[in-house]
Amino acid sequence: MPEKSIRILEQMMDVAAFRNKVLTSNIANADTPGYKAKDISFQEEMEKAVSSDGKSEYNIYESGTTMSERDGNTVNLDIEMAKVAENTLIYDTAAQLMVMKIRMKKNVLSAP
Amino acid sequence: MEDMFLPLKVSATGLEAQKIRMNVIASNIANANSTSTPEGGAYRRKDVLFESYLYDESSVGVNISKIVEDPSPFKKIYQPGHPDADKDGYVNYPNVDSVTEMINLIGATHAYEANLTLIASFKDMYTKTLAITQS
Repeated sequence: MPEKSIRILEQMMDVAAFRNKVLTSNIANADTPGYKAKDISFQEEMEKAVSSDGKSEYNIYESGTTMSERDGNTVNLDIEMAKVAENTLIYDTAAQLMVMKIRMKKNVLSAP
Repeated sequence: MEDMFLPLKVSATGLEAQKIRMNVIASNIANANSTSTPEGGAYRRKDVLFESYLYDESSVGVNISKIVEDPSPFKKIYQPGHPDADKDGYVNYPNVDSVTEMINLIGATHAYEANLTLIASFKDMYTKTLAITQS
């Protein structure tokens, strides 16, 4: 039987790692004229990953919520930093749960 | 294989670009009163042009494509005794406004710190990943 929860944790880490890349690009381009802030929906991507069970394409959308500045840039540094904090916590949670899952298995195997 | 450490590179391009921007701002402030330059005339305010740099669809770095001069007019101040005064006694002072420069400097500093934080959070995520192998 395939281990379902480990698979889901793996997908969580995949999605969060990808989102981290997208958010990193936004921060680097916080002052680039014409650059549009991008994001992926964690929930949507997780639903896709869990239901399809295979690698699916990420849906990257333009996330600029605030009024764009005169130079057409839509990155809001504070919003992006909050997203990064949230995303890092999700990733760390999944990684920590993975550690616990593996420990539990080890315990079972080493039981007398 | 895709480069695992791409986010670090992207943040590094952000750090580099913001650092160049800070250098340019520092030059502007330092030369706020330079009425003559080796090229002749008063100092012209300089600005940087950011340009995004595509690694792949999710990783977009940044670089500075050009350092441009601000074409806005010089400040003319009547100082007949000044060595750089024109025939009517006016001196061209640089088109630098120190308040604008200071505000830009604050923006650059914040952006620089944001990129630093991203590097720290990537390292944190990576360390947590390594911890799985030790479980």
